[in-house]
Amino acid sequence: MMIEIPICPECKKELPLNSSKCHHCSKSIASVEFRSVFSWNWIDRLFLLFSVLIFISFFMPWFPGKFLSQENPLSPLNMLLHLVDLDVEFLPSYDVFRMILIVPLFSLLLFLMIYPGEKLKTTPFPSMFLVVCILVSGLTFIFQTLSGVFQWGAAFLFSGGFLYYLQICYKRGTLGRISYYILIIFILASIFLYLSDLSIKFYARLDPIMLSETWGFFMVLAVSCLLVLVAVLYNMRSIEDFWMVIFALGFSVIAYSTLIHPLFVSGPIKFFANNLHETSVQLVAHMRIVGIALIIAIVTGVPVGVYITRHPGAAGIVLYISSILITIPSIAMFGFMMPILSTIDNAWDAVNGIGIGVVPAITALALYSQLPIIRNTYIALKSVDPATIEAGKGMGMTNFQLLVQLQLPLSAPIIMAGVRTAVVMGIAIAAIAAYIGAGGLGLFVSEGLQMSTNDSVIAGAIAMSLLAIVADIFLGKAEEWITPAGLKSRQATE
Amino acid sequence: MGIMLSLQKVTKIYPGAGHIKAVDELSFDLEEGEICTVVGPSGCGKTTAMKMINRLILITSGKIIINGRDISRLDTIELRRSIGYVIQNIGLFPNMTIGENIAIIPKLLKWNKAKIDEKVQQLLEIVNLAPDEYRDRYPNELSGGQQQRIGVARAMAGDPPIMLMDEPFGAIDPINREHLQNEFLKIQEKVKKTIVFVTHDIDEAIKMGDKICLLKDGRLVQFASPEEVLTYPKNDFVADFVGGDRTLKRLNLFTIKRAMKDNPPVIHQDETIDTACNMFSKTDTRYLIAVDGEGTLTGIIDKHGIPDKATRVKDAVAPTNAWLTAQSSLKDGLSEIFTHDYGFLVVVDDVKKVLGWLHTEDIKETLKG
Repeated sequence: MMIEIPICPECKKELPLNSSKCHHCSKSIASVEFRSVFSWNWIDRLFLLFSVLIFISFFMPWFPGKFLSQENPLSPLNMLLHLVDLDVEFLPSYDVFRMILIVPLFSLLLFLMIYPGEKLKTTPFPSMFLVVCILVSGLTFIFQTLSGVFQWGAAFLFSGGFLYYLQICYKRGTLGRISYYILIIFILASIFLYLSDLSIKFYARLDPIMLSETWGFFMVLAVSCLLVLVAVLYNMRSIEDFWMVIFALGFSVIAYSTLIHPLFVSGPIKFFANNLHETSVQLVAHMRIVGIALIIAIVTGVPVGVYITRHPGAAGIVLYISSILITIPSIAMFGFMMPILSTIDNAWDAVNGIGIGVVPAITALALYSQLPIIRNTYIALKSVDPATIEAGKGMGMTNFQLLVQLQLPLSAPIIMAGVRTAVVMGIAIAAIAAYIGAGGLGLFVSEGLQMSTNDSVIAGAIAMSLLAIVADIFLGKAEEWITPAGLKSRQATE
Repeated sequence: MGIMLSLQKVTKIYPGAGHIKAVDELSFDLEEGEICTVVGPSGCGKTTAMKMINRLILITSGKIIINGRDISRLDTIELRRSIGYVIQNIGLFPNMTIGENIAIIPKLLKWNKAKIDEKVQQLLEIVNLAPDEYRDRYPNELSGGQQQRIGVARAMAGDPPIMLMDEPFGAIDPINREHLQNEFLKIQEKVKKTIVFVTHDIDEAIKMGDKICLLKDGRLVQFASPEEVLTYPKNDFVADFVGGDRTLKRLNLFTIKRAMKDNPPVIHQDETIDTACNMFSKTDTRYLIAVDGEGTLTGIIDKHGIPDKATRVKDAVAPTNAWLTAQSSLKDGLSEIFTHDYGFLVVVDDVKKVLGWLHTEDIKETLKG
């Protein structure tokens, strides 16, 4: 999205609104000029996120190449590279190709975001930009082949340039103060680590067969790019700022080998890196248990909530039962589920029964989720203004029409809050489900406890917390999104 | 004009304590295009009576007939869709825009979109809210008075022949209420709906109603035109309920036109003072009304206030604002007479042409009937 910013007519630099004096060239200003610049709206941000995801997925060894070969997972890019260089000794050329192909490709994506549509055709920047990408890739490649003092020199030069550029951006006011400090700390820390020889020269050790390292590198490259991009692009106001992105991309290579790679040498992050495939599988398993349980809970809980609103006699009993359900300790609940579901197994003479594993886990979670969902539905429907309902009835709306057109839309935010509670609770309780063979992230915890591997326990806990936080944030947004516009808008001022 | 709505011995008994009759054998007929205000002290069953018409409350015995059809034989939902319903708490749907709120009934009736849009536009104009400004706003952005106007517009959206209004202006401050009442009467002149209007305010009942239905403890006490209720209250309860100032209240029911005399002492402003003096002695009045060539009021001449140098009426005329249009109420007329010293009031038409004059005696006679 393009917006107009005021600029100084003399030095053509950006000005704050309503300023009478240019703080760049110190001249007083009669009338400001305007310049169109790029500004991010949510579509752009979504696009950014999307392209970063594409970028990351490109490197995921398990996506979708995993299905081609279990032993030697291939990402689409790896496959591409295999096509280019089928020689077994492809390793040295691997890096060159990666840098030359991927960095420009990713950067091009970024560019498309910055100058979407027509702008791309009319601006001379794309061609220049591609040249720069290839240059940066080449430089990075040279950087890794340099040795000793030259590499140091290159790192300093690069970091220095980056620092200097940050300084300029900050002074121009195009970079937020917090982003500025974060980036400064990031750069200085990297340099310090680099000098203090803590760094592990990633490229010297690169062995693509070692999955964790490769993965770790790409993931961190992507994440650090993302960090810098968000910090910088969020404030991006002019094409000059775009250069900073280029710096950032190149810099993330250095940053990785100094600041982040050491993290992968030990601890939970290393555990993640080494068990990435397993983690992703269990993450999906965990999400699947919670997700299915949630869908069942919504499909059953909301109608029950609606029912008890209309039959107040049943309300007390239903809420009482669901309150009791939630007090049952989760391990006991899973325990109950097994014999109950096993009887079904026996009755059907099932071989791969449902008495153990995912089914009892989902059933138990769905039961736990009843209380927040039923109670919130009940409270929400009760709190709809009776006058509104009477008006609707008097106008000849059927009960169903009232429910769909009035009561549910008005209750949606409160019901959603119940769903949110249920999800966060469900993610935590699902950890226990690992004990009845349902899998999920709880597996890392239970296995870690059995084998006294702390990394595994911590990694499992971190993964679940992150999942809960992400789910909560996401559902919070959903709650906001689901709130009818009429409830959000301001009150009458008249 | 046929009978639109007819209640025949309608009775409602709520189950429970003592089988008290909330509404007891209530009967009245309402002609098409009439407003019937149902009024009475609280707990007299007026809201119950009204809600039985759209079957929000089920009838115990008796019959309600709308347009010749017994409502107990009609489908409840269909019946309600054919009756406009306005309540005191307005009850706009907060999750819908103003336009969507008004379109609720047309949508339920499955009109096509173009027709609905046209109707919304038309109704917003009728209730004096600019359609383009208000259509896409939400109820909570509007003031109470504006919301109630939307409530009325929404009730009229399905073109119902009958409307039920349950204290529609009850929650609105007095100034806005009066404004809305006047506006509503104007709308009613255009749309001519048959309306059952519940209120606890006798002044509102007198002002809005073509008929007043006065209830006490579920029983009909008097069903008559406001004039009749005020002039001939059926019993002490009615007399008490309409208040000791019921004669004054009647002033509201008459226009000046009905009471005025159409032979005022008029003199052309270009006449000489002598002519005026002759007229003073002939008509035995102290004041003359001066007009110009078109008969438009220019002022009043006082017999004792003629300047010595004056040769023409024009020179002696004092401008005045002791005038009202013939459509104003007698109450305003009386007030205006007492405001000025003349003891009378000039009655004019819309372009200030003199039609007649009005004295307190004329008012007295009119009230006497």
